[in-house]
Amino acid sequence: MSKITDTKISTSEVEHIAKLARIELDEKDKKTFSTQLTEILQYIKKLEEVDTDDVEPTAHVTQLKNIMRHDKAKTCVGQADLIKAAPASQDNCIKVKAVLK
Amino acid sequence: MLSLHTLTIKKAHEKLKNKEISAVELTQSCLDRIAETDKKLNAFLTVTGKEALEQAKAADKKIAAGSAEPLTGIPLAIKDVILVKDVKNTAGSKILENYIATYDATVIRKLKEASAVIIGKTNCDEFAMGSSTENSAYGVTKNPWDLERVPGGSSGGSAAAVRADQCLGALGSDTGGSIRQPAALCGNVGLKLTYGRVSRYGLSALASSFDQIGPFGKTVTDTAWIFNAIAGHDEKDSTSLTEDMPDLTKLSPQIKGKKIGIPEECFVKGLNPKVKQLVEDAVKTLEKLGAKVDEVSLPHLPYSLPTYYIIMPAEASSNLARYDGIRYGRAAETETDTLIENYLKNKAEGFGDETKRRIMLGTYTLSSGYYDAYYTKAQKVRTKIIGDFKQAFKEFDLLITPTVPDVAFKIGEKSDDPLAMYLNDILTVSANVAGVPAISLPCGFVNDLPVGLQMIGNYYQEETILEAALAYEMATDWNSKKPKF
Repeated sequence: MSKITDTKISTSEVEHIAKLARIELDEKDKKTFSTQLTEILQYIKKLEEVDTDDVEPTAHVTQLKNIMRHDKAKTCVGQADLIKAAPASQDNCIKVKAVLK
Repeated sequence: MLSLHTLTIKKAHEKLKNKEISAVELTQSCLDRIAETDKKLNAFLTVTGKEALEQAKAADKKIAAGSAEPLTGIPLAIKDVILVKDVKNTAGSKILENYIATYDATVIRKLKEASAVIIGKTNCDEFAMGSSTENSAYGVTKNPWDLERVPGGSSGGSAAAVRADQCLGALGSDTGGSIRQPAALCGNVGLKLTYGRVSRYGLSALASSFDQIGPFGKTVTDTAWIFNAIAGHDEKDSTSLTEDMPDLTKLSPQIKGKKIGIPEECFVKGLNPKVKQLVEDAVKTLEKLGAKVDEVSLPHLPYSLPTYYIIMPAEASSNLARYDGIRYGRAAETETDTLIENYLKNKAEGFGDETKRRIMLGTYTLSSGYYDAYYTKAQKVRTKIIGDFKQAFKEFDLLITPTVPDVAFKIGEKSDDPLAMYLNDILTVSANVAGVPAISLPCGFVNDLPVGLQMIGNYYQEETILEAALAYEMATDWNSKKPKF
């Protein structure tokens, strides 16, 4: 199993992660998050002390297995309320920006 | 006239049933109290006065018809992460500043069915991420014992509102200590339930494998009554338990012969010696009442917090991906041409720093190449922590620790140091990691600031810790001391 090796998060890594998470950051944020995330990961590294060979990862704390239900149609929140919640709408549809340039 | 807002739920219920007071009078008394105090406290984000008085009128009719339930006509406050239909739900975030809930959370449906009165929505750290309410986009809530200090978090608004008598009880949510920690710092009773006891349907999700909605009360009995009203299986939350619930409205103190374990690992670095002393005194009181006390070791307990800080951000980063500022909530003010730029701006403008930090931490630990080293490792350590609890509960009925290592800190003291803030949860988080129930109740004061005692129970054994807590409460009078607020 792979180990936690390098816990240093550089500003360019912060940039990459932020892009994956769709969050725009300015230069000051990148620096701050680089320091803070590195510090947090350094703390988390403590877990390497625990021997977890032959240990199953937890899937659910109360050991629930797949919960099944009948595939029956039910009523739900009205369409009008949901469209109203969107910042922009047109012709009863949610309006978004252009996907392609 | 008697200040009705200072009543406990139990007392108010008796007075309502005997027609000594009406639900409308009781609700008005709380609304007046909020109007008088909340400028200083900032516990509420939305006060639903008009709706509350209508609900109170309906409750009075139900009482007149002789069908009053324990919470009928009782004014309760709701943390602003739990949806109440047609009421704003900000989750303490700017990104939801204009979001109006389109449906009731299951717990709210149950409270409405019991004819409880919903008086408003309380402040919290953004998406329940924090231990002080300083991460709220709507300003910090003040601690009623000292307005320069935090009330704890993330359910700080609910905790402060209950302690300042703005309501009779409240709901919060507890992911790593977010009910128990503010309960301790404000001097309330707060209960985190066995994972699955209460439906999460309609709760703005932080980390789904830890999140549990739960009650705040002025007393153990009040807390049990709220729990009783909101618990139970819900087909809208497939992780909610189908196990039977005992009737907790007839709770009685039980401590004689109970075996209490004191985990040696809970005496952590940074534990205030005066807090430690109060917890030791509380244990002595319980011993005098007939409990048997012994030390116990849960060797993996010190790994609970690092385990939590891998799994929680991982789940949070997935859960919070939904806040895109397109389908609901707030859109960025900056104009953009393309969808991707729009996402980047919406999230940059809508989320606060702690939320961004956790989303990025989770995105990183879940990303290709790091998943096994972080996420899988943490879930394996989680198995070991669960194993420790199961082992301990073979021998003991409950475990006792301090709830928080210290009293409430000053506003601003830890806000620039995320790790120092995280360490506030060091004693509460293990119950979330394992999914077991835990309660915090007042056990004294250090420099006029309240200290909390934590009792952790085995899976489904909320009754055991509530009975023990009630026995302790009856033998002491910490609840009777109120802030001069």
